[in-house]
Amino acid sequence: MRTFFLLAIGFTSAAIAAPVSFDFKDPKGVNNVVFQLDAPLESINGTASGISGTITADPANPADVKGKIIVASESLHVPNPIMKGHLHGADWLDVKTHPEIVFELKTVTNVKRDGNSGTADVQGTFTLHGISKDITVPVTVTLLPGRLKDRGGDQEGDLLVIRSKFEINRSDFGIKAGQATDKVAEQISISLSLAGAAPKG
Amino acid sequence: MLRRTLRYVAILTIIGTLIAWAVLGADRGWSKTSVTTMQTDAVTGLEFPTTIDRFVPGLDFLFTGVLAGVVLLGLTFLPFGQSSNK
Repeated sequence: MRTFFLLAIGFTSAAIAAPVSFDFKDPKGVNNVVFQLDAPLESINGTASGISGTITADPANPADVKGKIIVASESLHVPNPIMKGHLHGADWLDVKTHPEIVFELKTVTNVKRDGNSGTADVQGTFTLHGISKDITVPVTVTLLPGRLKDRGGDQEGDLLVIRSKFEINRSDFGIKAGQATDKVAEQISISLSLAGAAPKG
Repeated sequence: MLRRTLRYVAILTIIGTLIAWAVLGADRGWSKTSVTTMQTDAVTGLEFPTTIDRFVPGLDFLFTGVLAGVVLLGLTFLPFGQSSNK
């Protein structure tokens, strides 16, 4: 966990003396998830933009890294309206019953730093369709010190950019487990592009 | 007269479907009602999707339109109403 702290926060540790929270509810709407599933006629390519959550690290206690990223299930979008109806419906994601997709950070390992950027493996609990599983995802993290104001706001602060690509199996999360495999692949490729803001003052 | 009119309608349906499919993108997937393109945020360098509402007919549109035209054209060759004329 210490290494994650160094990766995410330590770049500017001299300037930071208290727990720092990066808010991932992006008013510019840039934060997004892209997902892809193979299907017979064409692959299903979708996006999600309803992202929120925070990641917090405490310089005084580097092991204490907390955070979660939340995706509003309702924000999942595919360009075919019938397909979108099925995706949101009770047989698939059931977004009314399970309105959130959550990744809760637990531990960080295998950290490699390069200036203000770095890579790591993040272990956490991924909750989808009401089912939680512990998974490990590779992330690329870049700290942009003092760049918050560059995005058009009035506040000074830092930005934390996180990118990750990983795969899950829908059957692991009870989404038509073992069914419709001839129409939609089991494996879902997920790509996260997130920017968190830590205002100062 | 009705038979001939129906044949024109059937042929127009087939040709119209083919032209609409070709002009609106000749998409070989499912029909779509929105189009997503990726842009890059200047500050973070993150790629993010922007979606606009636009109809893009797919193979389902092409198949349905052509099938409707062919069925209509086929109906005009059935011997409806011919026995009373003999």
